[in-house]
Amino acid sequence: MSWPRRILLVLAGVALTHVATIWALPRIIVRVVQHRLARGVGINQIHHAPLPDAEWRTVVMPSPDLLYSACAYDASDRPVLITAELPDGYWSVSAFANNTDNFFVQNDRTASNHRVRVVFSAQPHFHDAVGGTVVQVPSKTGIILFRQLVLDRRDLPKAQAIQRAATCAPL
Amino acid sequence: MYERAATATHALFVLNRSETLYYRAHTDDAGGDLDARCDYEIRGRPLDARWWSITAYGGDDFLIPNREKRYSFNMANLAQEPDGSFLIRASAGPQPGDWLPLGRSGHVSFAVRLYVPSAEISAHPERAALPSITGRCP
Repeated sequence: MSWPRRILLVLAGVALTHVATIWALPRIIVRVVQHRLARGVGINQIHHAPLPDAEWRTVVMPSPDLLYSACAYDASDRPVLITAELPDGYWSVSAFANNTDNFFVQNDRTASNHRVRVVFSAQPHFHDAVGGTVVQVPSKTGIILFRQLVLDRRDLPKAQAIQRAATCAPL
Repeated sequence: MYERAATATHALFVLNRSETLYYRAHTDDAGGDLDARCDYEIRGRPLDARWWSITAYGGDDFLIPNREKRYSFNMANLAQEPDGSFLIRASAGPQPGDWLPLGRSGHVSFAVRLYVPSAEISAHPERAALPSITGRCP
């Protein structure tokens, strides 16, 4: 093989590797978070974290004003149901596909009921008999994240009680 | 694809912009890199959102260890001047007023979060009246 052709092959290999790495990086990071959650509480189970401080090393750029709960969902076999009670202040539940895309978010003002019920399904046209919001997931696995604002540390016990009332489980 | 990779690395699980807008500052208004050895004044006015906060991060994008366990200020705990403006002093050593400790973290950054921004800001994030950052370095 001639030298120019060898150089072209090497350059093409480098470019392909670069593109593959950039494509794979978000998926690998989500996979790492999923494995951490699975190791801690299991898949389709909710993990309630304390208010972030300098010891927090789970996910970069945590907000120290938010209580986070997370669930590594897997809707391969059955839909996944999340439920939660709404606090008086800001609250949201959001869902991220296995490539980190944010495909769903609902906050305390956009939720239709004080008691939130959302079903994440891999099947199109799934109907929830109890009337919850149904979301078709773009990837069978991903992350569901709950955020609850705590403006005053004196409100933390009440906020944590609401945080712990949230659930994530196979339907 | 590059944006998604960068987000996954430096700001994982950010919400869409109708729910939250995130602004990061790695330099002050004069263009100097933010550094924990410098003293900074962050001046601004209340931002157009349901709630907002300003947080300091270390070079590793995590919260900066400090004795006071103070990592951010938000619209509820920030002292406002009679004209509605606010001033945050960010530095390694203690400062009067609203002080944001920078510890010994070397490179630092500030993040402004706007949760449920106004429709105008959500549509035009560049119109947010972000605070100014002026630095004084040794």
